Amino acid sequence: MAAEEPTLIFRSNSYPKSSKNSQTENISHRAAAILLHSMAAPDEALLSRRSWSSDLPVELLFGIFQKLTDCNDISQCAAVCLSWRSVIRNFYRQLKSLQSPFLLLESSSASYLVRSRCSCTLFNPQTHERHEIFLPQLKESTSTWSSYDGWLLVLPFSMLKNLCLLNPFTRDRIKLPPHLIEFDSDEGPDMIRVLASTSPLDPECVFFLFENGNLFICRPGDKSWTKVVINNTSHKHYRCCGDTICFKGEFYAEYECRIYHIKLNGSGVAEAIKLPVPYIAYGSASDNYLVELNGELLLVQTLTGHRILENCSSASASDVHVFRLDWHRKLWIEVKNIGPTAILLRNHGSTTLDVANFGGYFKPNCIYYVDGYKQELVVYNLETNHSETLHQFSSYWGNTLPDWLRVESAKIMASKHDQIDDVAPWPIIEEHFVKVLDKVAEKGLLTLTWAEERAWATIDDNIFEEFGKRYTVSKLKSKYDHFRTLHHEFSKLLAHSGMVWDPKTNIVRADEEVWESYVKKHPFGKRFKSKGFEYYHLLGEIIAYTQSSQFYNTKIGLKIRGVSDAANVYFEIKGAKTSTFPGGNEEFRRQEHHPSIEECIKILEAMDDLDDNIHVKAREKFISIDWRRMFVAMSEAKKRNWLYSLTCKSPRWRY
Amino acid sequence: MASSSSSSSCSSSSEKKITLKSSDGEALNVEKNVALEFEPAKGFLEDNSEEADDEAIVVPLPNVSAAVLSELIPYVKQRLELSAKPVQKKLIKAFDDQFTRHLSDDKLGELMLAANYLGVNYLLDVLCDVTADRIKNKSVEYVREFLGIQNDFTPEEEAELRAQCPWAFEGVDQD
Repeated sequence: MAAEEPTLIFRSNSYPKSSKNSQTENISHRAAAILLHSMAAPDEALLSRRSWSSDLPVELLFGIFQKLTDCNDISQCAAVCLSWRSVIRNFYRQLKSLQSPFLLLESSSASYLVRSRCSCTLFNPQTHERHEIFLPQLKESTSTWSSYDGWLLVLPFSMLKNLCLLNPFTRDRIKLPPHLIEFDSDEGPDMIRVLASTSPLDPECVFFLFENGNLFICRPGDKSWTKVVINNTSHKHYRCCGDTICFKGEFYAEYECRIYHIKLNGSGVAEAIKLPVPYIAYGSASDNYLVELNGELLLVQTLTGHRILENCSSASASDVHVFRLDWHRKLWIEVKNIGPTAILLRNHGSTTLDVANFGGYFKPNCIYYVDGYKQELVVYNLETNHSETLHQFSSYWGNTLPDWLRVESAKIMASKHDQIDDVAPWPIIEEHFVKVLDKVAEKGLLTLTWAEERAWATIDDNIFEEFGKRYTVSKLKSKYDHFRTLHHEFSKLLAHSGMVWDPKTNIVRADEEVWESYVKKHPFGKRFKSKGFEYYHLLGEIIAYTQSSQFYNTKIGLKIRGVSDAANVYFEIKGAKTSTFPGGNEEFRRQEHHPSIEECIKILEAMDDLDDNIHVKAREKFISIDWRRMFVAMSEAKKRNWLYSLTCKSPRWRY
Repeated sequence: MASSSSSSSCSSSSEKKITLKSSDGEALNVEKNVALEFEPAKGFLEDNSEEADDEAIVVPLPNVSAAVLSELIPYVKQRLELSAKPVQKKLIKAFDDQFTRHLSDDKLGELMLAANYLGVNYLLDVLCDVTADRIKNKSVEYVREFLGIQNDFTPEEEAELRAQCPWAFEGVDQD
């Protein structure tokens, strides 16, 4: 802090000559005065500094996060506070730093005997930096490679446990049925591969599990894998496969340039259809990859290091060939130009990138792959037939080649499963939350110990159903506590003379001096300067409800009635979950009505058997429009409770 | 740079002036082309274009204080002059750097809010860059302290976060 004061002075001097106009000179005097003032009272400066960032609108926060190029920084920001976390969670797919593909160097599977580390290491090809993401979800299991953009397949050590797909960026997890894995076989766990036909979050996704020539499928929600019986088993070659791919929802396997289309015929029976054999550039010396690009099936052949040494003493000018399948002529045609696209090769699901989205790092018409023998990241340019080493890896990564891992692409984001994982921004949920809370509190559920937990769980369920996001009861409760603090502070502010709050625009109007003196006394109030507390009335109601029903249940001794009442109401909410919210508008209309003091007195007079003391107290309360509104809105019984509560001396009732 | 700007502001003083009124009631005279860089002012001027005398127009900017405006105006003016000339991007960048280098954290925030409100996107971009730079490689505690953000995680959530990404709390750079 101390170091910043001199810079303030420096700033004020840096543009003094910018205008000769007396007006601006005036201003720089004023600015200097403000600066001097803030220097004289360093605490003040500290307080004012505490505020501006909480006013940052979401789009500005997002703008800042966009500038972060390191995924470490993103995860740090996600740990700063709830609102930052929700911004990052909701927009992570649009964050540039996460969109660019990473190379998955290793996960805890580096050796599955060392079980202590639960993390995966990512390599950012743009910055050549390594990042380690800690994944507690990997405990007792190993993850092999990604099965779909950005998703890791997690294999548990225990055979009985479920397989699962894990997104290391969002930590979303999708459980798949368990599958018997034999770890002690020579091949190790590498022989299992799981492919997803679309994003695993898509309810229509089909998962293919391929192991030793056996194909299993399952769909979301299945309890077990269904084995696919392949009819014409004369072609045994697909058993020991090279690359596999999910192309247009169906499964393709390759082995030494023989490509099979495993075509599912209804329930669990499939046919292995042999596709044409392409021109073989290097015979078995090449690595083949199946790639989908713009709805076409491509085959990419690369000649990797050790094969060059073994087979061709001098590497030919062209190391990479790309073929396209012509379905009608049943021919593979060599492709020389793949347009503004980069292909990232990997086993079992190579990806393609539209280079325009990646800020110039990925070049068009290029193929990126890892040469497992030389341990290099290589880019091959189809136009110039020239390859270039981008990075030389030092560490040895064992059997599994590094794998490309990327956050699901924008193309997928736009599809129908949007609703599943795209959550409404918190302000909308907040409004919803306060309204549900009001409904629940009105029934007095929040004050009954036995009903409270269930009521909170119902609220949580309700939010989950509306927005597809679970906040958990503890988080909702702390949110409620936070609201109560805000309400308390805001009512303090409104009680201050000179402060006028317009609930429609949610702006507090006051003279600058009033604000200044108020903020000096109540630093917390500063946050209301730009925007009031929009749920003030509703929250006031909620608090009044909880307090009056506490009174209702404990002081008057009508416990039993309260409980049965509450129970009825509980089921009413459960049953009417969907219909609760359209009614929100009605609530607003009710708020529009401003009951006059006379009206309230009339209601009060109509209620007999109230003692004079209560009348006096109630009239005091009726001075405030908020209390009048609440009073009119209350049911007959609640009105009574509230009135009784006014005479109670316990400080709990006053706030 | 300051001297060059003062000479050019003299030459442009013949241009029409607009009065901007800040949140704290100060009136500031600016050239019309500078005022047009601010979205709310632009909209206001378009709405009131039939007024013959621009001098008479007072554009209210109720969300920006005079202190912030007086920082913004020279910046926008110089930036406009720079981008009018066929200068290299490097120069603009150097100018932006010079402007932002010595900004205090507070000023940075105020300017950012103002630039957002006024729709000065190029400045906003630069400020976002600077903010991102300042929170890069820092610990979570530092970022909270820097931006004055209240930690609203429950202790359990915080513990969970720490377990998930311990590096985030260790502070990579010296704060």
